[in-house]
Amino acid sequence: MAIAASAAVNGLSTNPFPSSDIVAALLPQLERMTSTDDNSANTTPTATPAPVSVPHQQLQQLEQEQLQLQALHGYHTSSGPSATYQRTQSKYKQPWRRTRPEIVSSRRNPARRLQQQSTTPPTTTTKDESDMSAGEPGSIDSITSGMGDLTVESARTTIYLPHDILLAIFSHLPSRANAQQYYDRAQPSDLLSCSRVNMAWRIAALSTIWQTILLPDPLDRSCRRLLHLLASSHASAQITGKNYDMTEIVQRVEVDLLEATEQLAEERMEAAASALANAAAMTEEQPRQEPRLIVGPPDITSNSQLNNTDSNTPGAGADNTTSTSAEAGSSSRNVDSDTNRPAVSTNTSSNNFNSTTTDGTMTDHITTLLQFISPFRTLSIQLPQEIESSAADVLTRSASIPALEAIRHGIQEAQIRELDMPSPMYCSVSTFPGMLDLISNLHTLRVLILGYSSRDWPLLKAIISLPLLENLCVFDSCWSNQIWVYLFTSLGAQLRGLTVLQGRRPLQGIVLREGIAPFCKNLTTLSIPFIKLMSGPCPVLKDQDVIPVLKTCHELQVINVSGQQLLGDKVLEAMADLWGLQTLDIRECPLMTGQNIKSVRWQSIQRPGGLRMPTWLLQRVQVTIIIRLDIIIITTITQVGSIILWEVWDLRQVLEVLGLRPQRPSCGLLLCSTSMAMGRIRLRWGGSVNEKMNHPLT
Amino acid sequence: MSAHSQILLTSSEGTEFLIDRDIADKSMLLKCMLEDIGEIGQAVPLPNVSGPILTKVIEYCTHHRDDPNFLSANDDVTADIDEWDLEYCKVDQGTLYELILAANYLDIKPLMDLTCKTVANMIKAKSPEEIRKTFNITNDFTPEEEDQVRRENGKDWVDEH
Repeated sequence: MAIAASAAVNGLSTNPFPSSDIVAALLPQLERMTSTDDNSANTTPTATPAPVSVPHQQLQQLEQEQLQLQALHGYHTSSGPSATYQRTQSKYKQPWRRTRPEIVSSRRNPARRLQQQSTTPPTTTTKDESDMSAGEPGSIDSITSGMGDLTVESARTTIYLPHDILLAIFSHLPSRANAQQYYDRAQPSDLLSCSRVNMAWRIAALSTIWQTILLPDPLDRSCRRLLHLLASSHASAQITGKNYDMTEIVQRVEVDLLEATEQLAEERMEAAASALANAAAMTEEQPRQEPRLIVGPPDITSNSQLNNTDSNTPGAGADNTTSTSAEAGSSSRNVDSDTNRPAVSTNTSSNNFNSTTTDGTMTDHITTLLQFISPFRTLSIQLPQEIESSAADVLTRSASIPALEAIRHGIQEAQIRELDMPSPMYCSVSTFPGMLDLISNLHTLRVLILGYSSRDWPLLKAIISLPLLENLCVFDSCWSNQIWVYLFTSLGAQLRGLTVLQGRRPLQGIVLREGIAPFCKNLTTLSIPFIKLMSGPCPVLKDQDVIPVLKTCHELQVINVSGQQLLGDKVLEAMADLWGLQTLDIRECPLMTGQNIKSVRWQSIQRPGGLRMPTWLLQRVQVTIIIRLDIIIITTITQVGSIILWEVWDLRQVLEVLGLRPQRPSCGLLLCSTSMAMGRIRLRWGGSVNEKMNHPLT
Repeated sequence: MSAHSQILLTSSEGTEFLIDRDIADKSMLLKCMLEDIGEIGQAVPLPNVSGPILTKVIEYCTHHRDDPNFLSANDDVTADIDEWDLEYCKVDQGTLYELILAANYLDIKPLMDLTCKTVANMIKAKSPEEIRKTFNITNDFTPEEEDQVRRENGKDWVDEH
């Protein structure tokens, strides 16, 4: 893949990879850096000494080690509500999200960030002051409130910030997702600075920087440089096996279609306008140019102007190259001076050629970039909401086709199996012509996350035509019952995962009874949560709608019916028979009490050895929240002997922990909260931490 | 469970704080717990929060008790910090960190956002060395790693190509 990508880039400019000599020279250095050393003299007591160049798998290990260190130092858990919040946010992706303003707006208005910087509160940098406070001078004196005095630090110590907290802090720094921001020298990068502070900060900053790449303008040279960086890290990781691969950190690539198409349309218009102006100028100004053309006859200069658009052309005169590049740069900001493709010239004769070349260049750029995004990563095609009504018009014009074609080509080349096309809520535009072509041509697509909302039959037909599609996520669809049933009838047994986030039109019971239950018997994931909107409909699914699905889909492992408030105990009883169930989310289902359940067949969340969940636990515990793979969250106790279990890893592990106490709690309050990242469970009994109850879960 | 009922909280040192229920509800952790088990008349232990920090947290929640936009107040990362909040965060670093951890533990998202944003503001426009100095962080990179970091961070690397 790397070679193919290299070739693709070579067709345009210099090789994006470091040469083999450079890599060979770097290899010993990388090995030295990635080897374990005892450089403890230069390490903080809280940060884990670790090499810079580590495989991505080791990053998680490092995080774990740091969290264990954190536990040793007595700080509290980092996987509290904030972490849960972040996980929940990532899990329940909001289809109505806009193009993130912190990314796009800052690109469009770079001065805004500078204004923000100017409002940054003053920071103490002198030694004396920094010993007291880094936030505000004299702040020690200001911490006394009317409700009590705060402890004043006499000596300034290094304070360890957990990884999750660092991530939360970094989320308030300007994003670097935009490739153009990444290389904009006018904007100092705070996140990049953070990545150079120490290893703990570096791990958090890197994942923040590289988690999402936004390509608002695939033609821009910054995207090209991003290619270089990704290619370098990817190639180095392949060769050394130790240097980490940035493409593995990248979780999402967002291509802003509308932005790209608008850019393309603007450039075409500019090119056309300048061509007209140039043509007029050529006829009028040619006599006046002659006196300036001292170095050669007019025809030679004219030829060089026509042909010397490539700055790398052998034999080109240095002066001519420079001047031509400058002209090209002024006429089109997206032209790389180092590309082999002809620049967007102002010459009339090359207009059509340039238009075609621009499309081809964009295709090459996107294709090459996507090739470096590892397979099975999510590609997100963003359709901004701001212009939803005109989005269809813009994308339907000729400019849309090259962008979509480029993405399609890129997806195919990169063998991306997961396509995320979120769309804003209430987007009522008709199907974009290119979208159908895009979907129907991705024959290897296995996962389709379709935020795109349309009633169109062709879109449905395109989905059905995907031979390998096994996981379908639909957000905010307004399909009718007939379309849903037809979809499930057509996909049938090949469908393994179904996620429907209901918005304006909830999934009706008849769709489950007549579509999913009889035809989609191989479902392993059924996620049909109900999200209550401010002015939206109410839940409609009833027991008789869901039970047939649970009875026929025996392989269900993940069920999410949170918010379906009409579902009751009968559904829970049917769920209890699913032996393969691993994840169950029944939040906000108040009618589910579990009172009649005597035992469950959840093999995968039972304790080895055949010990079943004790009846007394089920009888006394209302299981109200069960979420995430192998994580059970139990929040409600109905009878005496209150137990509160928060974020427990695994039911069998809960039982292990409970088994540590011979008598079940009969009074008082047992609080059990876990740090999932730490892999520990903490139990508090009677208000004090019982150290004996600390039990490693991993 | 009237709106004017009071909840007793116990800090890590055993100090007890009697607060109104609506203030306690600002913490999602307390809110969910109280909804689940009801008001049991016993003190709710918060062993991860010290008394002074709990005082600050209560001060924040009390100030924002009638704020209708409490949960969405700091969703916009680019929004300016409210004047009172700005004053509130004028504490030493240790307290600020403790506030972050307490906000995380108690699940008070606005406070979490506020404190994290304050730290983020302290980071902005600083070089790595300045950040280390500000937060008293030891550079644990080896010289080789430092060089590697500089290259991977892009600008120098791009210059080479």
